Amino acid sequence: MATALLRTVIIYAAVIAAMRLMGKRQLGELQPAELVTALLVSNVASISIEEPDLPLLASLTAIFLIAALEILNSTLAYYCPGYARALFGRPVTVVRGGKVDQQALRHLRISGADLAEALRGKDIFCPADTAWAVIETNGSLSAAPANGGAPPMLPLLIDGCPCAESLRALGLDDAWLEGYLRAKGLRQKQVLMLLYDGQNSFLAAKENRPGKTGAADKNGEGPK
Amino acid sequence: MKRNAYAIALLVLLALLLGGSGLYVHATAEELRQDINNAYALALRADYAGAQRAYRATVAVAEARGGALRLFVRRALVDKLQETIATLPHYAHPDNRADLAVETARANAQIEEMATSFWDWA
Repeated sequence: MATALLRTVIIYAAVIAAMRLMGKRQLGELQPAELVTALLVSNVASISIEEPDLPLLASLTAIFLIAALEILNSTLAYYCPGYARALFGRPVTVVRGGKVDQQALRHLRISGADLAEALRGKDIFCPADTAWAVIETNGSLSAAPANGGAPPMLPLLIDGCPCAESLRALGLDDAWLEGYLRAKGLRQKQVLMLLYDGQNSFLAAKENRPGKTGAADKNGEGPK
Repeated sequence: MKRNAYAIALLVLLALLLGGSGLYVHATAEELRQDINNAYALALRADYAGAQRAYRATVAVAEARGGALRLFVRRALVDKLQETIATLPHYAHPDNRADLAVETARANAQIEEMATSFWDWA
């Protein structure tokens, strides 16, 4: 009994240390890979507590190995946008200008009831009142109501990768994007994010070195 | 990216810990095997008092290392080995030579099982 109690305390401390090591990203976002990590860590911890026959070192090694792999995996995803897309997927627009994209819903296997429920969670009771709704890569819905105010800003370029869907939605193309960046003296790889709503834009360039402020530019006029 | 350094340090630490634990399990298994075989050799030479002393010393070693071994290999394997080793001094008697041979072989097999279980991929 004493061994079981001691093992529980050690595993509890180890799981807290592992989750702390993985950081807030692990606690907040729960992307597919992070969900798998959380599930695995919790399973290993519970098995270790329930099965006193298992050596403690095996459980602790598994927990910390999963934590280390998760950190290195998220770092790889940070540096390789292509890998990040493969790992996390892309956000998918499901409502645009009050019109439901049924093809996207079919692709995501989200029913009309699911969409209506998610929109109600955002205090929007009719898709027609939605300017833009996106299913994020973590499965949550982000929505902007069509209240006659400013339209939502769409990402045109994130982590150096163009968002073709947003470009199409705004009636723009890659040539326009290239021209805009050329005017700003930047290349795609140098851009952290470029948002645009048809009138206003927000541009943040990647920092050259940690500690230096990146170039951010909020343009009230919007690129022409 | 401090966290990456932590992750790599953690992986290195885990590798060192695993390597060290593997060496400890291997060395302990080798020590127990040698002690048991030495004690059995004394019994074969009909030095049963010496064999009993040697087996009891092995029991003490197995008990002393048991706590650490349970951290690295399955508790059931260590318990089974300790039970087998604990019976050996009682078989070191002229009337029990056959039983002593069987139990010594059993203890050697259990030591082997414990040692291989650490790096067992199956």
